Amino acid sequence: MKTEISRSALILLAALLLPTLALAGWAGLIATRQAGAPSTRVEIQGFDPRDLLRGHYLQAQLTLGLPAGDAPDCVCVEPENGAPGQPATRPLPSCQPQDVGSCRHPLADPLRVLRIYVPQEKAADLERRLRKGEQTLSVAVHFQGEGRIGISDLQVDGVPVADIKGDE
Amino acid sequence: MMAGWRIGGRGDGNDAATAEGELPGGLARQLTDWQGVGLIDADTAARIAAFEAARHRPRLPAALAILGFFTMALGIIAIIAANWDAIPIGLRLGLHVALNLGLGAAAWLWRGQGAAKGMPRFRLEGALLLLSLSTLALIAHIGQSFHLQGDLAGLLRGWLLLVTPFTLMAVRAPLHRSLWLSGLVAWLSAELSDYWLTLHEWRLSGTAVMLAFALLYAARALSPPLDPAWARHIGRAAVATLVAATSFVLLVLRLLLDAVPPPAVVNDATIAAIVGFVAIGGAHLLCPVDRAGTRRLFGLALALSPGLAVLPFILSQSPSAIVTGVLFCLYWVALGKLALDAQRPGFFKLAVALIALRVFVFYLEATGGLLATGFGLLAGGAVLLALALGARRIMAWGTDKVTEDAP
Repeated sequence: MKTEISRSALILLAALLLPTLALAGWAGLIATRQAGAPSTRVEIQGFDPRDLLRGHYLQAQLTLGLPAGDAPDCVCVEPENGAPGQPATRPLPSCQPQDVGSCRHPLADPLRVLRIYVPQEKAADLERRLRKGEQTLSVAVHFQGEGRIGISDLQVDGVPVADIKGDE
Repeated sequence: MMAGWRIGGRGDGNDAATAEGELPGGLARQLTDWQGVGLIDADTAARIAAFEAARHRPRLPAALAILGFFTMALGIIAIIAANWDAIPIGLRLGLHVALNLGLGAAAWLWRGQGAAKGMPRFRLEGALLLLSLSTLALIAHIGQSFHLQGDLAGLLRGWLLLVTPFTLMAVRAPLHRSLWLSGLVAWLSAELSDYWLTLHEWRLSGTAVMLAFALLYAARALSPPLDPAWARHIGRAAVATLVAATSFVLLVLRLLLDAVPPPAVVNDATIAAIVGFVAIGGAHLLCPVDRAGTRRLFGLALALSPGLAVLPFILSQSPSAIVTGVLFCLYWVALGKLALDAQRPGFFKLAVALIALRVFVFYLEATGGLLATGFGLLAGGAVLLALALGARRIMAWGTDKVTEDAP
């Protein structure tokens, strides 16, 4: 006997499944966009020495050698110039598409505070390393165009954070 | 006396003993008491005992099974948590997506089966609640995996956007509805907090709160197509929030704040009260059934609530405490009268109790340091007893009136 599925039941099925599929698609889009975007490794520095850690997130800024409070709205990051992990920057006249489009690695709001997720059991150790400044922490920055960036792969002295043991 | 309901006048001692053994102890005692005072006869007691014994299931095996599942679930969570960083992001997110899809499919299947066989809804409601929470967790999980720089408002906005359709369509459990409403309020609060200073510069921060509240209250007018039970839930939650907030300001907050608020804050609140009167009144009148009789007056009381809460802040400090107390009492006298007219004895009793509480606070304010003396304590106790007696009589009168007026 053929079972009829009503229109309202199908709408409910869509309402139950589509949100998850949309989120899966979003995650796939982020991963694809990051994989296809030009990227470079940039060191990070603690933003607020008293309060580096917020929950599971490390608060940090990219080390770009820009003066605090006087940074341009948008800069062009030039990894080929500058030391490894500390790329040089060139201020862009504006954040308009014609100016941003002329740069391969455009970055808006270069002094923004980034929240970087860190594993709970390594959070305090990473905070201590960042605070002491004896080791360098760096992230891969993916330039997604128009000044937007994505970040991934937190490393301590070149070692992925997932591979380091606590208090190493 | 126990034998009265146990054997039920049938001489069936063995069955009754079995039934007693399976009955909750409290019910066995209640049956004996009820039979002893003549509320029920032996036959009725025996029938109740047999009915309750038949549906009463031994709880130990079920409790052990639940404990076993819970322990296993904890073990799985512990294993996953311990190896969380070792699991590739793709696999972690894939498992989370699969879990959500499974919950969605289960909810859909159980909805169909429940409708066809009259099955209880707890499995469906449980799956819907887990799906909703798991969707929120999945958004956070994606954000965590890719180090996204979002904020709380964005997280809640995304969650509401995704779960609202199935929540409004299928959820019936009050707990889940309240959770969704809490999420909605939290999102509105987070959005408002991002623009709070700018809005306050324009003296519109209070107005934004009033408009957000009025919009929520107006949502009950969307029935149909909104499910009537949902509309009722939203309406009650909005009314409860408004009345509780107004009462809190008049009863507690104003008394705690000694300083006179700055003119900018007073202006902001005054504008909010005026806009709130229009917006909440308008939202109330959107429902045709609320436009007549007691309901119309109730709408007026709701619309006046923001103004009542703001008025003591506008007035100077010295009479403000008195004005606050009088306004609080008048507010609840009006609500109590409306509750009587609407045949709501419970709400009427609440009004009487709150007024009695406020009168006692009056007494405390008036006597001040006298309370530290023995005579002061005696007088305070006497006032409390008088208030309790008066409140009890008024409540009894209200209950009688509701009974008399009942059609």
